[in-house]
Amino acid sequence: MTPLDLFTIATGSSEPIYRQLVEQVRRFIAGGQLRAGDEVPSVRELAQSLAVNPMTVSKAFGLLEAEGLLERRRGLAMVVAQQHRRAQPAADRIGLLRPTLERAAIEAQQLELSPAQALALFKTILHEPKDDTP
Amino acid sequence: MKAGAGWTQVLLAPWRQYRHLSSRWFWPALVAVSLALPIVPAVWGPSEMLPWLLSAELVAWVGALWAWFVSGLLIQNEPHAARLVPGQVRTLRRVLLGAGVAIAVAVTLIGAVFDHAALTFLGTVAILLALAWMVRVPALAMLGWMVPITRTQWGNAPPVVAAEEWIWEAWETQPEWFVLVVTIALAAATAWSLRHLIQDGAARHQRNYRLRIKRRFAQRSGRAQDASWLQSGLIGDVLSRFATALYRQRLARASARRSGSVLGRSLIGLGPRLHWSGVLGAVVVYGGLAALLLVLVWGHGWGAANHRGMSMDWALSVFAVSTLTVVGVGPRSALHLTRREQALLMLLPGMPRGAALNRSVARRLLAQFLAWWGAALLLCVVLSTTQRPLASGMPTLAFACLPMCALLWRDWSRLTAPIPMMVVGPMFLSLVIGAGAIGLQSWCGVTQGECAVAFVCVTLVALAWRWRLVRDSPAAFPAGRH
Amino acid sequence: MSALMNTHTGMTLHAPQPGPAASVTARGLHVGYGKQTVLDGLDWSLRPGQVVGLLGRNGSGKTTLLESLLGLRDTAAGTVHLFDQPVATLDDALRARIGYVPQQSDLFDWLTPAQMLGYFKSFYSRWNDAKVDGLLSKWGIDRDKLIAKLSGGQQQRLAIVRALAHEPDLLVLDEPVASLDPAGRRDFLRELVDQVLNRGTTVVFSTHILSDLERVAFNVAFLDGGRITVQAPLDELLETTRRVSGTVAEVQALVLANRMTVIGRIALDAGRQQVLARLTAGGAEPPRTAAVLVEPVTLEDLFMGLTR
Repeated sequence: MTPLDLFTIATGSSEPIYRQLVEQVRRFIAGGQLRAGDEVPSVRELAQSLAVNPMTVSKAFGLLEAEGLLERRRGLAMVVAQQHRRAQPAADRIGLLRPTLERAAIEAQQLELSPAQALALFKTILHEPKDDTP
Repeated sequence: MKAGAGWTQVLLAPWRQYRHLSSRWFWPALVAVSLALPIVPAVWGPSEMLPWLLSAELVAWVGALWAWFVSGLLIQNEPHAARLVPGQVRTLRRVLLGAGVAIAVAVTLIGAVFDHAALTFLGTVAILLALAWMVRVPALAMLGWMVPITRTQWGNAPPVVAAEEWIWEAWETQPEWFVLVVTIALAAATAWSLRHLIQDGAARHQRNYRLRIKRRFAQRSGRAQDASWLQSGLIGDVLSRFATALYRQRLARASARRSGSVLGRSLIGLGPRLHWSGVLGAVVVYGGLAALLLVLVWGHGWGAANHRGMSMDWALSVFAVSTLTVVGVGPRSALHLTRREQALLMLLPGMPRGAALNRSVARRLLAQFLAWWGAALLLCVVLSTTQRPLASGMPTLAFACLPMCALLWRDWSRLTAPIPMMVVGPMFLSLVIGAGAIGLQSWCGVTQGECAVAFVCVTLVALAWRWRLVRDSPAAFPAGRH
Repeated sequence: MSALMNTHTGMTLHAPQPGPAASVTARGLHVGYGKQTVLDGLDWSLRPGQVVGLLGRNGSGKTTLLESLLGLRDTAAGTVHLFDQPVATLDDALRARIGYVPQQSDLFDWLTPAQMLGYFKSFYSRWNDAKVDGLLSKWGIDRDKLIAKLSGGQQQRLAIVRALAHEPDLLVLDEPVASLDPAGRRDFLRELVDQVLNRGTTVVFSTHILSDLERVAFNVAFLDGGRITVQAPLDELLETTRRVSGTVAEVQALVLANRMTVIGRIALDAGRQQVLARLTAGGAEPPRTAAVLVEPVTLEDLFMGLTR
């Protein structure tokens, strides 16, 4: 069971509370605090703990479910969905990488590196073992 | 210049407080009474009383103005200001001293007619000091009233007689030394008083100031518990516990029941002052205490016609009059003070609304008044069987208070905050009219029965007239919302 | 009734008392004192189960509005309907479903909490003793101490207990937590969430404490100039409103170009102004230019811009 105090919200910001919760769950999943299969607190519990309107919490959870980050189980609490079940096609994912690569290309040109040199560097980096796995 | 500005502000403050916070009619009414009163002996009564009456009035006025002035200064003597405003305490003390000395000098000059100028001066200073202390500690005021009035009781005790003789002898044989000793004593007392009348922000000062403000603004604060000196402190708590015992018992009974008139049960929630159990408790405890005190201090026996002091029947007259006062005067301010509680009551299921509410409330208030008035009347009739000279007129006084009940019927939704004049005025007026009726009886041969019938007729007419008002007004509760 | 069974979240709300749903409708409300008008042709409606925060400046008439809704004030014109019935002639059964926490918390201060609650209990058929005892213990309110001797915070908590004890379906709160410290306010909000919102109670409350409102109110209503100028879900307001600052002409042009609706205006000096504008369905997100500043808003910005 995920500890309830993992979730916080800030009032007085221009970001509505439901959006803060959605972003938080996204970050927890990306950062590893929430792994696939972890249970998330029920709407009622979370609303009680944060002193927030339950409808706000259920709105956030509903959005996360639609995005595929959370999964509903009959009669039990919601859980974090398995990552590889995400239905985003490869073309979309490649498109997300484009802006970063475009910036790298501009830098490579400024450093007067040839495309072959830049690509070799990129390949080396991709093969390097990473410490933080999502 | 700065000191002068400080003095001006301090002197102006009591006037400003009066203008904004007290009833506008208080001082003008007092002036009117003072001017009217001497007319009585001048036209009708013994004319040798006139100079005595005038000087008594003068003394009373000086005393009243001084008390009012000191009260204003004490209000200015706020604990935080005392600590933080430079020189405020000093200025207040100087103003007090200056004013006191000025008054004493003025009185001495006026009383130059008497030979003992020094004594007049010292005596005035002593009286001013005593008055100032009575303003500062109201419990002392009670003592201050009782001591001179009860002189007949303690004046004949041997130690008192001996002390008085000793003082008189000292004055006769060595006037200069006497004056010197008294002057020194008085100077010391003045110095000490100045230090303790105008305090400088210590914890005790804060407590006293809080009490003072509570007392002064009790009616404006909107709370149902008045903060008269009688009801604060340990004794006050005990007394009010007794006075509300019956009320609390009835409240518990009403809370346990779920049947019966909703309005009736809800009115209990508006506090002891509006319910017969609370009024009974207050009359028995406080009126009884006053009556008991009178009996213990002055008198004994029933209707003893040749005793100078007061006796049991006088005590009972006090009881009867206080009953009438409480009943005639109570509901209006209690209804205003509990207007926010009334708002909550209006949301209770079962509460009547609109015109039905008005009718029910009007009937209940009248019934309550009549019940109390009936009891007071009975008491007055019993008292009139004694042989005392004025007691035979008591039932007439009671009947004179009957028309006051019409004042209970009004547009409660427009009730304004009660001020003392508004509350005590009708009572006072009734008693004056009653006295007039008694005078009519003795001079014009009108019988008591005829007076009683006249008052009852006036009451019926007034009630009929006011009933229309009750019927056509907006809902009574929450009171005072316009 | 079906609106309250929220199958989307699988959250079953406890059934409220039988009878008409707890809706509030005010039309054309005119309330004034003598010559002074406080509410000027006010229209407002709340659906059952809505939780609305009422915002307005001091003296804008929030208390008057709440009192008029409950029939505690005489209206010069206009109607108020609670549970679809005129408030002046409300059924007793319906009156038993209303809870009210007035601004003054020191009422009935000559009684003890036990006496006061016992007294109120005798009027209601539905009274949750367990909840009352639980809340009194949790909040540490001495049952047998005179209310006059309780602290301001305790008195406010007691007023809240009294309003919640008979499990109302319509709860009206007038600055209910003004005297409580942050911990107390958090407690109260939790209680509100647990006991009230989960039951689908219609809640109207006025407060100056914007953070509390943000947490608990799904909708906000702004009272200004004697009327409700804006009422919308708070999330939507925060997401679609932008603060646009610049010269009067530039701001005007931007607003028109992107088909935004101006909901509030703050005049700045030197011919500049700040405007709160909402994006509409047919319009677009205004681009960020150097001349005109377009920023997102917080609830405080909305308060400052929508009330005067």
